[in-house]
Amino acid sequence: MLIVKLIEIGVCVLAAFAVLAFGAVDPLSDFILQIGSGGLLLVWFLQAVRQRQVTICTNRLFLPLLGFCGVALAQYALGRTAYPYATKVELLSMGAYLLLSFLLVEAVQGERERKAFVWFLITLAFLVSLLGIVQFFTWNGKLYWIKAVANSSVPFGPFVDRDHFAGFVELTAPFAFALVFSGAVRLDLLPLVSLFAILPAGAVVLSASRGGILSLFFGLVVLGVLSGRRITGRKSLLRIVLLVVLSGVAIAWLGMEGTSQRFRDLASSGISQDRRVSMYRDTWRIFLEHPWPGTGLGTLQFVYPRYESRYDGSIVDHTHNDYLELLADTGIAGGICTFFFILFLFRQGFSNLRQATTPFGSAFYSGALAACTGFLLHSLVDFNLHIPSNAMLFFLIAFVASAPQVKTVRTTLLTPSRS
Amino acid sequence: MVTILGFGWEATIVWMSDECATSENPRRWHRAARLEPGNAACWARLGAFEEWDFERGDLRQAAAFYEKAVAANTNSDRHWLALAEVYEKLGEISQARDAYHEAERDHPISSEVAWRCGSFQLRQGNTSEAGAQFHRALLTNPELTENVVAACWKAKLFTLRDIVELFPRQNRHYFQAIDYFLRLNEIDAALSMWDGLLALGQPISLAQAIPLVNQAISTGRLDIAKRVWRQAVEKAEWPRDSDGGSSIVFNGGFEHELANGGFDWREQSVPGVSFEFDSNSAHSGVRSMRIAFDGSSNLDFQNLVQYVLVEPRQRYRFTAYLRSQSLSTDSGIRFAIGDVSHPAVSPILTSSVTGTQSWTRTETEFTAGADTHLLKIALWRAPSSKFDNKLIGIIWVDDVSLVALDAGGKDARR
Repeated sequence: MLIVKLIEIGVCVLAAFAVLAFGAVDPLSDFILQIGSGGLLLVWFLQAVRQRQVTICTNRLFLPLLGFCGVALAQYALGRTAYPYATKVELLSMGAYLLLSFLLVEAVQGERERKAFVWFLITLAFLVSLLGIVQFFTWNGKLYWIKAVANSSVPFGPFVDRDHFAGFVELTAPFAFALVFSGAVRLDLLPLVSLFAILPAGAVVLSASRGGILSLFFGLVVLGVLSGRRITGRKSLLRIVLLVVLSGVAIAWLGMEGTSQRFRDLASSGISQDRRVSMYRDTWRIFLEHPWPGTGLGTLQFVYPRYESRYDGSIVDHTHNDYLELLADTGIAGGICTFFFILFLFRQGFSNLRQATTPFGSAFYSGALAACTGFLLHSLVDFNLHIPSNAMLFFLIAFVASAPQVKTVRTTLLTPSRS
Repeated sequence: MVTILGFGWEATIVWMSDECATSENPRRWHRAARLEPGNAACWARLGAFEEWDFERGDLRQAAAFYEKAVAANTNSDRHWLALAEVYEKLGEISQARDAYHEAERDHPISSEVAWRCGSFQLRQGNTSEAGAQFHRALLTNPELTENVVAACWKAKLFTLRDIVELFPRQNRHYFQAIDYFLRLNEIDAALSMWDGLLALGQPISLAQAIPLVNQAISTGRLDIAKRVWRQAVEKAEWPRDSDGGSSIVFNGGFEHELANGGFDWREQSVPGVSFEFDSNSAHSGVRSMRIAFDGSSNLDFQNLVQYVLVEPRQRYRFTAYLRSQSLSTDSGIRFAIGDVSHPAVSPILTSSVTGTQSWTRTETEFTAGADTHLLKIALWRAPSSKFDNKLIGIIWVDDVSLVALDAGGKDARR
């Protein structure tokens, strides 16, 4: 239906906007995401009213996410947050992710829509990576060659931090690899899809994001394992070997020196190991002192100074471990919701993968699982879940990947009452 | 539908509030605070505006705004500090104290908080509390040392010993304090810091002690200069000449690196002249000092200098060995020995060296004046008055010595 198509396009446009708007880290971009999600939901709702029926695709993933939002809402409403305004701001972002995930699940119900979504992701990854590479070699200190960045940041592509760029690529590049591994792409499109796979991988290496490189690599290993059963025959194997070799060539050509140096020197630019360990330890202490209610969603930056054990004058806005930060913010309740979210994601994702009957289906679910795996791994050492564009993409992919193929659809008929 | 509209409304309010709060127009900040009263940053900005508007600002209003800021976010040490500062300006000392305590509770490790709390306590005359805060500040931010020393010194509530006790047990605090007192020309205070530093028993480098020695020399406090130099050389395990110690010239054979200050050679760079050690040409030992002139100017050269402490009325023999290669002009290189306390008195000059000469001994004897305590030994070249006056060539210097003589003209120390 046209409206459904419009919603899918709308979600993709918002996702692309968020990525290109420096990860949507500034308030205006965040606002556009929130208003955009509300607007799309309104469109969906009006369509449902016009049709006099509401059709909702259930997805078990909504439960823990709603539970998580419920925890945060309770913190805000009951005044159990260290800084209510910060919790409110985070709740609005979570609300936008929830709405967009819901809408995308409604819009992407068939293989055709899933294909369109995958092509959107891999094309966006390619274009953003190309931008990143060109910008890297022509760097003038400004994003898009016009917007100045703070001296302390190490940007890549449209992102103010290379680790955020890497998080974006972890979520998108595996789909291109998955299409090749699973033989789900036409022969005439194989070179293009291969390029869509190789370039982002090369860009991540060029960005020298250690967490990103390791997470992407791990994600691709997971992809390889998940795609294993699809690799039959020499042609399939040749395709994969060629892709891997070409990726290696691209990486070597783009330059390994800076990356190697970063791995050799763990304390070079960015956060030192000692600082990282102290942040983890202090955040754990925050959680131990607020185990149940947490300190309030989005309040770590404001609570952390009281627990800071290693002072260098800088402000700790995130602890570089999304899980620890989540525990500190939302306590055990939030932790349980997160646990079940991840559990349901992989359980349903693997189930969908097992049930996939087409090469594309297999590619889609294996790519999505690999993307989520790499991203969740990177969250152990970074805070990509606090970068709106990356968080949004993660939730979109997670929900679409875990949407049941045998749909459980609840339909409510809205009929005018007759007296 | 209501949820959607509510969601959109809240998102709009938050964004509009943020837009207004980041505007340059103070009127929009009021609007930002009204739109989103929970945003502490808006109230803090209003408070700062009222506090620092010297024409129309209202401190009471500033306090009210800051109070709203801390009510919205009770965990911000910055807002509590700002509130405390305003309370203090209003004379509400008890409330200021409470606000400083809140700031400390919210960020106990912060050196900024400790420094400002300490400064507050100092202004109130509570030296022990101030001292504790300053000590805490210095533990995490040694760069605050000079601020702390300056505050304590100017308040005149701390003795030098008290100030030393504020320092964590690290050299850098003491050296920063020494630098501060030297800028004030407070040599005795700097010396107290030096004594505290020695008591730490930690290794130091000679270069760190040189500013104190130099200033003591330049202000005529030769007793202090001598003591500090001796202690620094010992503490830094700086190498000394191994000639039995009869010469009072330090590093006369140029066998060791130059300290470039204190009572060691001072090499003052000048365009057209290069200094380096030469291990291929030495009168004795391993190397000599080689100075090359590039012929670009008619130099007035006194750029290799050493200060030496002498006894009044003592007779001395000065000896040095010079070697030259193609040293041009009629005005050669020689040593000039001057009395620092009587700069108007002509220096004693040795014979000069020009052209190409192998190692040549240059020597002179003199008796120090009745109140001569410090000599300046300089390798010297006066500008030539001739047309062909630009100095080019190379000079080597080695085995510079100044030996006290007894009544019989012999080395008094042997």
